[in-house]
Amino acid sequence: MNIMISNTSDEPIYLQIVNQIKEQIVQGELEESQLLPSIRNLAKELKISVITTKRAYDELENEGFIVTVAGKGSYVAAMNKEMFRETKVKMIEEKMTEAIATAKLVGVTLEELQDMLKIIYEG
Amino acid sequence: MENILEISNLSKNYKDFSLKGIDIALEKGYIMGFIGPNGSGKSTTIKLMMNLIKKDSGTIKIFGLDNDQNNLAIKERIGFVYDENHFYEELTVKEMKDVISPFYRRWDESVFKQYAKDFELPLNKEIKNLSKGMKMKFSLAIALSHHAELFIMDEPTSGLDPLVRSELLEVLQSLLQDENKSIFFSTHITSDLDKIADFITLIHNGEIILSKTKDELLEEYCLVKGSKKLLSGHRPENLIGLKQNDYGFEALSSSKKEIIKQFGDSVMIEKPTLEDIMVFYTRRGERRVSSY
Amino acid sequence: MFHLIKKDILMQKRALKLSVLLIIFFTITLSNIGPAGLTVGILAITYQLILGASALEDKNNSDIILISLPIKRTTIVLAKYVSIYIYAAYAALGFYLIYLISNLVNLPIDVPFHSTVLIGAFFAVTMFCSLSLPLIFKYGYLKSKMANLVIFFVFVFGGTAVVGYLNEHDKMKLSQNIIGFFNNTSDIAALLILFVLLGVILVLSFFISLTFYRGREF
Repeated sequence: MNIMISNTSDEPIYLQIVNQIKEQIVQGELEESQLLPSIRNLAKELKISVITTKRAYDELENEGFIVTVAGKGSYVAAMNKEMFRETKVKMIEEKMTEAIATAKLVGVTLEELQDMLKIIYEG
Repeated sequence: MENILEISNLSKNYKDFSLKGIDIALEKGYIMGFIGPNGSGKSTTIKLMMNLIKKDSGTIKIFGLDNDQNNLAIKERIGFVYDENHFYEELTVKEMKDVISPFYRRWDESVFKQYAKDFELPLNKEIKNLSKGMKMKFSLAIALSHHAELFIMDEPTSGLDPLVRSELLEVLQSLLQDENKSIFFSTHITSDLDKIADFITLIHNGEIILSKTKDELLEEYCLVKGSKKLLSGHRPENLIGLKQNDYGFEALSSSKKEIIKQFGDSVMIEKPTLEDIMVFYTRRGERRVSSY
Repeated sequence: MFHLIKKDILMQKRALKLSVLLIIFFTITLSNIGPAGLTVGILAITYQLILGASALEDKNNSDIILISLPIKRTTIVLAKYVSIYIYAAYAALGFYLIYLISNLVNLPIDVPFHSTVLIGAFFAVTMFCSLSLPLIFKYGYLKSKMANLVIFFVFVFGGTAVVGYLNEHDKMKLSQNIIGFFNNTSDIAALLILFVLLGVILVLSFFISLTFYRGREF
């Protein structure tokens, strides 16, 4: 498991952890029922507060990505990756629709839009 | 959640300073940073917790026990580190340890030996010849060697170099691997706490200004900067430590949401550090400090 | 408590070395005034060590450590009172050794080491500490330094003066009464009364010290 914390980012630290763990679960880097580090150990390793890692794990558990067994630890939950992907794709579509609407408003063409997307996607 | 430390309505009056009925609660398993400028009441609070001075009113409960009635039982389970050396300077490290250790029923010599090795404590050197950092490490080693459950630290990092400070913070974090241990850490160097503190309590002029999780604090609060003309017509009660100069204003706000609602995009909003929060809360209004 | 006394002795390594010299010095200078001289010597050494310990305590502000440890304030106060007699015994032993040595090698000085020295020292040390320890526990060493010095000299000069006065005016009424009283009672009974009296003063002093120390803030 890889987690990198940025202290300068506007994104709260707990959210950085949530997103990075989610990403690794979706990409299969973290496998189903794999044991995650304890919240206290993760806090120590990342040099952040216990409350922050606790909040990240709580969030991940609420969203169904991990399961916590009292006294044993937290595991990557068994989840339907297809379904997760589908919901994400739907989200992308919604946001794109919004972007296209704005584009049409100010007369940005499809070609320009595609170029834009390409540049942003490739970073 | 079980509170390992519970202070309620605690007061102590001196001629020129008083602690005005403060409340503090710390859950088991966490570290609380107790911040405030010099003279704000941090040491007075800690002295009251340690029974070094007598309170005028209020209660202090540690491990659920009243600290007046269970003085010794509580102290068995406390590890303390103070800002200044109060050990007998004339004794060697080993002699001092031998004097202290018999008083702790749960003293663990093997643990002490391990820390002495890790910290490279010079056992046969007189305490007066130790560096400031080494004195703190000795104090820490004593605090860690009797299976204490609550660690009370009064400005442990003041006057120490960054390397020793980060070593201390590392030790504290590894202590918290045990969820039954808690740390109460007072400091005016807030950067020590930016990373590892779970809770932050800010004290100023003997009053608790705020006490909440560090994450909440840093997410809810914000720094606002903008041009002065924006100030007219806005309610200033949201702006803490408001300061104006010829080119604009800056202030701290306890609600980022509220600021966005009020000012929208017309101001610059920044994430505060703990130091910002402390400085904006405690600085003296419009008065400026300059050199003459 | 034992460890607190041990600490007081350990941190006075240097003062203890000095006290050996003092014992020799006092033997030479004070022997000529008889047993009372040695009594003063024992009192002086005890004074030096008990106040020396308090001075170091004060300098380091170490009461803060002691009170932060799981130690009862009673134990801290009691340890000080017990240490008085350890220092006094140490000084007495020092004088006794010199007495033995001077007898063995026939030194030209006469060390008047009699049982009266011990009884006198016990009396002087107890009285002195009963007065000065409460002051130290109330105000700390520094603030009570002058007062303690005064008490010490009142004891030394006042004590020797009274002894001298009594010797010269043997026929005076007051001393007659006292001497008469002691003559009428046996030595052991007289000693017993003295000890009981000292005991009461000591216990009283201890509880005053304890009350002061319990109320003290650091």
